[in-house]
Amino acid sequence: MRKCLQNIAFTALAIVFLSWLVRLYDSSLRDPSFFSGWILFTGMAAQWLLHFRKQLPMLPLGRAATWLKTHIYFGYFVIAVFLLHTDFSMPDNWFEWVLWSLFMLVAASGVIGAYLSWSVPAKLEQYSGPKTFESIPAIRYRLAEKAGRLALSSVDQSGSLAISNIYADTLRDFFVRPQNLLAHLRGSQRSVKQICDELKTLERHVDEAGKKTLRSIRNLALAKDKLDFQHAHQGLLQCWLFIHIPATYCLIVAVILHVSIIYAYSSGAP
Amino acid sequence: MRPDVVSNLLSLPFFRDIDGCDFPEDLPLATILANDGRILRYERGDIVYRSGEFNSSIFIVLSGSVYSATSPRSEAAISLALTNKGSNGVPRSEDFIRRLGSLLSTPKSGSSNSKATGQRNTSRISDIEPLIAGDLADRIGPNDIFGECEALTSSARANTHLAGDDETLILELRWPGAREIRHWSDNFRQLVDTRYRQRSLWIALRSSALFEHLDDSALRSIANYCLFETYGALDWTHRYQRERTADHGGTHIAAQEDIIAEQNHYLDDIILIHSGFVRMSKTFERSEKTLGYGSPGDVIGLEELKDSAGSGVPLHLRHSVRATGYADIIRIPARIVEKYVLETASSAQAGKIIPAANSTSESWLNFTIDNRFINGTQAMMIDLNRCVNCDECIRACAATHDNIPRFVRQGPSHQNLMITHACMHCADPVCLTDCPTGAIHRDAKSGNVIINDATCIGCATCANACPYDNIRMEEVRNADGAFHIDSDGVHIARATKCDFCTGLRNGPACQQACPHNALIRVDMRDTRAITEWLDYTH
Repeated sequence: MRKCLQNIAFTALAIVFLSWLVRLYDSSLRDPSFFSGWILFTGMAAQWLLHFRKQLPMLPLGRAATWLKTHIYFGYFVIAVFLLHTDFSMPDNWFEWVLWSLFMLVAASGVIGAYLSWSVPAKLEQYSGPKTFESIPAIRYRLAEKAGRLALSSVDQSGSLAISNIYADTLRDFFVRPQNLLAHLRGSQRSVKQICDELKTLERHVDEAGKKTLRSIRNLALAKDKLDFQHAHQGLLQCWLFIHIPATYCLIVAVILHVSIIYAYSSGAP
Repeated sequence: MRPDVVSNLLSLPFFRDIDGCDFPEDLPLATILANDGRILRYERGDIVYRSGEFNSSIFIVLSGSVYSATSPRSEAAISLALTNKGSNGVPRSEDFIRRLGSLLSTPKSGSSNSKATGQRNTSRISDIEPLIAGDLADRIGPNDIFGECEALTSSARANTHLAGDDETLILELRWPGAREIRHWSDNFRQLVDTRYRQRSLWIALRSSALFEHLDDSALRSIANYCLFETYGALDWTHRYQRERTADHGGTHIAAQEDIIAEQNHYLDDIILIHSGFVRMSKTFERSEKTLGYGSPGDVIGLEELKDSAGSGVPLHLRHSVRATGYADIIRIPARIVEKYVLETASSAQAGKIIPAANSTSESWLNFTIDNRFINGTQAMMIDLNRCVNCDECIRACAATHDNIPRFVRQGPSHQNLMITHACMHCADPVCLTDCPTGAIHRDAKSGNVIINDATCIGCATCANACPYDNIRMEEVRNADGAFHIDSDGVHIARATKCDFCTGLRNGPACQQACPHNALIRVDMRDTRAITEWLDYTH
């Protein structure tokens, strides 16, 4: 925690220092947006280096954890530089809107991603589940298969269609595909409780063998619910990168265009 | 070796005691010697091997003599002599280029074992007379063996050996060959085991902090009263796998372990652990509660002895001691410890030699001991509270190993800590014991367990022996991606495992690549490192 506060304090100091520099530049009657613009450009290029560190694990470039930490804190600094560069004002034309939107998308997805990377693993740990996102469909298939087999076997055992009917009407969809992902992200367990209630209510209408089958199906439903929880949260951990990275590439193109246009029409202003 | 050299060798006095008839027809002694033996010629003062090196051969002196450093003082004298001469130094410019090259290259499995590729350590001490005159080295004469202690336990060489005469001829027997001869010949086994017990006893006493204030003559007299005992078997893995799959839980596993000493028994002697691990437990309700574990160098019973001395407290062991898999222990009579340690050692030293308490929780101890994870020196541990499943570790591993990752990011967990299926580079690596070609071996410098792809025949002996399921058989493909198939139409497989990125200067790629510091390679006994890592915050 102390280290974290130190890093925040250092970043804040750097931001204050930079704003003082920009003001100093402004007081010398030069256009400060060129100065802040190039700092912003350098900062964004430096942020991009994390990508190269990841591509070159065989080189002694230091630990990726240190790189990421620097990327996050430097990211806050770059956001401050952007605000100084835009003078805390909204864009004037459509191209500036594109630039502004892309930067905000990259910055917001990065900040959200950093928060998710910090908070979600601990939530995942609450429910023991598969350790890899890729293994979730296979586990889901196995659970659905078991539940289907139990429902069918109940017909042979007691001749009653009660369990197989509730499976066909309510449970089949629940088992075969991801369910209640948004509810899991909200922390709601209403859906699985509803299913468990229905199964428990049915218990009073069936024989002993049926009760045992229902208890087994209920356990499978709880396991499926945990799997959906894992799916929702692990998916979230992967999902933010699908915004952050493509938006970064679009931003790079837009920034190059922006710099080219500025210099094309600036007549070599400082 | 050529057939004529082998037949000459078989006529030497050492091999007369080994009956060729004991060997099976398809594996005669001559074939073993031809495949796994080589004759090394040394001049007086040549280093055969240094202490701390990893090499699992057994050496037989054919002619001349070899001197073995007897104490840390002799090791220091040898180091000083080598430093003064600079005999094993590499020119600085050459070293720089080599380092630069290693930065840009990816490691190649099995390429770092200089012994395996036939290179010899050519360091030499010009004048070994002071060592011999100063009683700093033991002489090993013709027809005697050395190196058996480390060969049997796959551990680092305990002491430096150097040639005592010009034209010293030594037969180096690689471990696979030595293992076969030991298996088939009773005489050879007896000789190896006797030397192993004698020398291990001496090495253990000499390296123990318990006796560091004593000179060699006092140690030799202590050695006469000590007892060297072995519990369990070197290849304990199959027995352990049976116990584990019996599905009776951890209590069952503990109950199956060989008992070394029982709680409340009269303490005749204290126990010094030489190799392997022991579990310390106490009777609790109807079963045994694990209190901790002991590893090489630890002493058990000393606290009881200290408390009992002069206070009249009965001398009883406070807990039971069990061998977890395999353990070599030395029993040192209590009266010897009282005479040589408690009466003479300084209070600071007495504090140092009391075994460190395992202060971690019982559930963690059960997890690490029942699963035998205490064996791991470079175990891969993942903090699930930080891991975001980004797979950067796997990608980095694949990028440094021809696009084939060497571990599976899954494994048994305790609370938020997962021990993944990645080679732990064990202190006691059972996977090495039965490899028919010696392809799986320890790296000569780092001691990491690595596989030489060129000599791996894909027999899966190591994969079956690994109690942690950390070695996998991968089907070999050619450059076009097609499987290699043998004459019977069977896919050719090869053992693959984590090589700890041997050759990479920046350490294991997996640990370096983890962006959230959620992965660590750690010695499982280093609770301080684990705690520091767990306390890490952004």
